[in-house]
Amino acid sequence: MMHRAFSYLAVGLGLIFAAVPVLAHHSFAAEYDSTKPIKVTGTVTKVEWMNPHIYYYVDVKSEDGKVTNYAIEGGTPGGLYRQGWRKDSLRVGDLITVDGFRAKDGGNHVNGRRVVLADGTRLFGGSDDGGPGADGYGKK
Amino acid sequence: MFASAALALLATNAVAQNSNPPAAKSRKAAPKPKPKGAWWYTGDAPPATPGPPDMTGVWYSGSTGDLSKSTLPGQELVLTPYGKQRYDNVDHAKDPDTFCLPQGPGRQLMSAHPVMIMQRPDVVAFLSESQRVFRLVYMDGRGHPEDLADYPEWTGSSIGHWEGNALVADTRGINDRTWIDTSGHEHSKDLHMTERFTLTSQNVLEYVTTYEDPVFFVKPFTVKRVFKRQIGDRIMDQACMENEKDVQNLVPTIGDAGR
Repeated sequence: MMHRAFSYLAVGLGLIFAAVPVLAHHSFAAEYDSTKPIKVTGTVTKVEWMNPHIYYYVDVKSEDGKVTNYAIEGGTPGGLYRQGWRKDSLRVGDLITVDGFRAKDGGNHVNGRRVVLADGTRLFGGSDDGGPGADGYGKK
Repeated sequence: MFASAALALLATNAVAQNSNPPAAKSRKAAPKPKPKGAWWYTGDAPPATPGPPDMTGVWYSGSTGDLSKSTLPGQELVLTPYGKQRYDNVDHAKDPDTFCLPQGPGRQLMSAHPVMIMQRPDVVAFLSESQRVFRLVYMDGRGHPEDLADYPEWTGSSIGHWEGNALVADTRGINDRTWIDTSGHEHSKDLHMTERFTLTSQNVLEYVTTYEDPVFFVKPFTVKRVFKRQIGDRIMDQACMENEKDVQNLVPTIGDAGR
């Protein structure tokens, strides 16, 4: 089982990401950088199914063996419930993959959008806000 | 375009990273059974009753976004020079909603959370899942409190009446710290809202609101939104400060940079 993280440069994507997602609780652009998409694949270490947004934490091992723990922000629990999530959709120890966007402040926190759960289920993990991945991905 | 382009990008890299076999039990919710309960919860036809149409039920609008994009023809939002200066320099890291403060009378009905309406002849209650705040529209003929200007409210003061099938609410005394939309349109203490709620069908509620505030807007402007009935859905928990972690991570984001 390989744990890999992909982060890739969004060369030329400035225009594509000119519009930013609208979040329920805070401005996307005041916290996250829509020009810095990131793919996180790793093991869930903690889950906080709480308001105003869920948080889950993922250990990602790089090629050189270094482990980084990412804090991933999801949608609001009520909204995710309506999108088909349940509080046990993520469990500690699960291997998951998340597509999201990095924080502006350079910290290891990510706005998670598309999530592939341990059982292969694909769910949209953000607020249903018209932003990337909100157009029907994994809808109930 | 944005969403589909982003998805295409994501899809390219999203293939087959998961090597786990499917688990025995799906982590996704099971299909919903047909709801049981009141007609407005099950989606059944409402009972025939005399008087105005019953808007009781759970409704969903989606986020306010930028209200200037939802205006009726000839009713556009035009900022005063002062309003434009404020709009161009508003800091999205200071959205009162982010600090778990009430969103204001219009915005709390237009959010990523549903709203339950409970209707009586003498008062109509709007119960927002977002922050679990409520509004009361008094329908008993009273006026606004005489000292409202001294005691503004985050949700404003609302009195209403029926005009045919439309509930018309008059809202004043709105705390000037609220934003009227997610894009950062602010207002003064003199903001006056006239809201018209009309059931255009059993499951569609039309919401037409005129915003009047000469400090920020050159002329009154009128926004039209449509609420959809959320059959079988329910109001979920939303204790906003429960695990608030965003405020500490926000960076100043001025004007269009945050839109």
